[in-house]
Amino acid sequence: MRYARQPEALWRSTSRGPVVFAPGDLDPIRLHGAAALVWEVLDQPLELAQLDADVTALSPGAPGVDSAVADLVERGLVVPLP
Amino acid sequence: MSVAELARLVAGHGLRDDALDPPWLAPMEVGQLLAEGRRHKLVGMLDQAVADGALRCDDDDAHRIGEAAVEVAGWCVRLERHLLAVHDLFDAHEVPHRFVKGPTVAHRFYSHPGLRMFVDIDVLVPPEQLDRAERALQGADHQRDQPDPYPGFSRRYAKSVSMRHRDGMEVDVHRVLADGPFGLRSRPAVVWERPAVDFSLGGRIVPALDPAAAFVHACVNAVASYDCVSWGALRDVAQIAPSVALHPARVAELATAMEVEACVAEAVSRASRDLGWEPSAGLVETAARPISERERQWLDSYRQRPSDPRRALQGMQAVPGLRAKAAYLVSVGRLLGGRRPRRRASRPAPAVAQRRSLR
Repeated sequence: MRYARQPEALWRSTSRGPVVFAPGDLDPIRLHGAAALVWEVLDQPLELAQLDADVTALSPGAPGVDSAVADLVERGLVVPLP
Repeated sequence: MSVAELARLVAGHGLRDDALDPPWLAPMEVGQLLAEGRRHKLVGMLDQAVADGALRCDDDDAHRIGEAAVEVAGWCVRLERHLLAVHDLFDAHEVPHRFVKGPTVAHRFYSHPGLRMFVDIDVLVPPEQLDRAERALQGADHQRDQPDPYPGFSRRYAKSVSMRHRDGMEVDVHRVLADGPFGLRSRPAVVWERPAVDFSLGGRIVPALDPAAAFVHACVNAVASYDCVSWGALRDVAQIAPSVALHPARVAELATAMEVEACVAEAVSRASRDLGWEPSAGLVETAARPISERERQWLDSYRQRPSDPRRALQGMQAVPGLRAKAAYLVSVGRLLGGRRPRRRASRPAPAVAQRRSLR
């Protein structure tokens, strides 16, 4: 299974993390930590293993990539693709 | 280094080699630089410049700049959502439109859109559709910032009409791309003869100007606007230029058709001089076109804030055709004289016309 950014989300990068405005949300949110890293590396849809590798390359020892992905999926910011 | 100089440095970040000894920002300067950054639409670029080490400051100040960038980014994505709503609205009301400036530049011509902040939405419509666009927006909780000074004045002479949504978002509906005399001289049809270019925003496709038109507009916006000429506007010139570098003839042809060659020449020259940008050989040649004395007066007038009578005189010089000049003079004369135009006595509409208006 691959994961991708919610295509209808509007977002911007900042030095403090990406600011993301998902469809249906009333306010934009800023992502932190592993969630921010996951979001930034998802320029293209990726499988979890590649996602983990890319995040680790950006921030060695970054914990909780799996849980960050799960959280982003639950919030509708990331979508699973077949 | 003054705060103005620092702002200019930020505007040129990435266009030239960074200084070997980047300037250090004192805490007091950070607040002032952020204010300049907001004024010149450079907060995102400032955030990037600090992150890249082109400007140095302590961690607290870097954090402060980053938080300002977060705030600006939040407003920009809200505006983008509003843009998509305006697009749907205009489609539903069959108003032809092209989005310009702001997000259309940020997403297409910058390495990431966070570098280019904007504070409102700008959309170009054919002049004859201006009233329809205004009515569509009024029906969607927007109000005009300033009423038409004279019935039909904006449709004939204004650069744009500003509409504000109850949530505070501003939509500038443009009749033409340039303000003042260059706008009055230009033929809006020239832009509409060109096909729109689609750009993707939030998974949707919305219409925008093609790169040559976007570049010419950036030049016009940078030097032919009565608003404060922002460093950000000049940066747009340098940022869009690579997209047209291989086709300078297209830029020259469009600038000629719009009669804004002087604006392109001036903008390329200023961006090169002020931002340390090196334009391509083709654009240098395009920009080498001499500026006439009248064009120089017009260009200077945007910075000098001319009196209303002088602005009216320049407008009359610019409006093409004797009848149009006379009509313009009458309109402006009434405005300056403070007299309201006499309205024609209303008559009952014929039955046929009434049936048509219900469609």
